This record gives sequence, structure tokens and C-alpha cells, in this order.
Amino acid sequence: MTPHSIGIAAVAIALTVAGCAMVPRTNSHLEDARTLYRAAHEDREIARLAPSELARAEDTFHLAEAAWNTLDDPAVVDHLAYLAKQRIAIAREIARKASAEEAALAARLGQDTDLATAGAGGLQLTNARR
Amino acid sequence: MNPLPALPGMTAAPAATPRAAALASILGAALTFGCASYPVPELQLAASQAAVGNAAAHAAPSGLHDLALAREKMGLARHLASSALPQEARWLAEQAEVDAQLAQAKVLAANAVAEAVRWQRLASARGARLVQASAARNPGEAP
Repeated sequence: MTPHSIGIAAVAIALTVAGCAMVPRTNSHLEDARTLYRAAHEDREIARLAPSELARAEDTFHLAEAAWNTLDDPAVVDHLAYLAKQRIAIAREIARKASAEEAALAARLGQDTDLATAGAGGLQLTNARR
Repeated sequence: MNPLPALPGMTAAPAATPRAAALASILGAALTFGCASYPVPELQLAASQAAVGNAAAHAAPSGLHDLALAREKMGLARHLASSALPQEARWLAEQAEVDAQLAQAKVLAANAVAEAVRWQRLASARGARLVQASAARNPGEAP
């Protein structure tokens, strides 16, 4: 190995090391999206009440992750992470809406049951008096 | 400088400097992608405009912040689309679409929660009246 080739190799190694050092290890927007994604993924109510919206949010989050892992432009990662975060929030809101609708229906059914019970009681009372 | 990193943060902040942040982001995007060639995202702009229209039709306090954000991004997206920056226009239009969808979802959820509370109160009141009526009919029994 000649001194010249050794010099070239040294420069190449230095550039590689410097290049690796300059690549940021995390992306704050992607990390935020990851945190929200994990929380949403573990939330059974979201999975039950907003499955399609959650799936769409997951797809977008995975795109953001892929963009980060393939060293795509940070702006692309930020953009996709933002879309993922918003879609997770949408899934959450849709689940909240569906859950409230279930609660409203239960309250209405309970009221109807009360009325039916009261009506049946009244009927029994009337029959007993006859 | 990242082209659009400030935009995501705009949702967390109470719309204090959205315009300045967006303009700075767009400038960064223009510097980064100015030489790239993309078609004008007509379909995305139309879809985003429709989403903003839907959200505006359901406008209520719980969704106003996200709706304002969506409208601002939509305006910037149109401006960029006509300024030969279609890639940045597409990004902003995509963000406007999800912002508008979130605004609408928040309003619909808030309405559903209010309706649920109303029915639960009605049910509670009805239950209390039934207990009182039952106690009146059978004064010797505990409620």
C-alpha cells in the first residue's frame, strides 16, 4: 500500500465517520408520532370504535418511519409524521364520538326499560285491583 | 432548515405565530425543492378544499383552531401552486386536509358527548322519579 493510497483511505474513513456523526439520531416529530401511535395502538376503544381511521394513521406512521430509515429528506419525515399525528388524533376523536353515541343509546334504552317496567307495574296494579 | 417542521408545531401552539412559522417553512421548502419538477396537485387541492368546506359546515368552538389552521394552509397551498412550487403546495394541501378532518371530528365528538350527557341526565331524572313513585306506592318498603 502506497502512502498515497493510505492517505486516500484515511480521508475516506474520516469523511465516513464525520458523515455518520452528522446524521441526527432522532427526529422529534417522528418520536412524537411514535408516542401517540403506541398509545393509540394500545387503546382498545380506538381499535374497536375507529379501526379504519387507526389503520390509516398506522399506514402513515409507517411511511414516516420508512422515510426516516431510508434517510429521506428530513422535511419529508416531518411532513409524514405530522400527517400521522393528525390521523391518530382523528381516530381518537372518532372513537370518542362512537363511545358517546353508545353511552347515549344505553341511557335511552335504560330509560325505555324504566318506562316499560313502570308501565308493566301499572298494568299489574290495575289487574290486581280488578 | 427543514422545509415544513414548523408547521407540525403549529397545532400545539395556540396559533400565536402560525403565519410567520408557515412562511419560514415554505421559504425553506422552496430553497430545498425549488429545482424539483412536480405537477400541480389539482386533485389534492380539490380534496383538501372539500375537507375544509365540510369542516366549516360543522364549525363550532371545539374545532375552530384546527379549522383556522386548515384554512391558512389551504391559502398558502393555492399561492404556492400558482407560484410554481407544486410539491410544497401538495404538502400544505395534505396537511390542510387532515387539519380540517380533525376539526370536523372534534366537533362531531363534542356534539355526541353533549348528547350523551343530556340522555344520561334525563335517565337519571326519570330513575329518581320512578324511585319516588315506587316509594309513594309502597310506603312501608325501603326504596
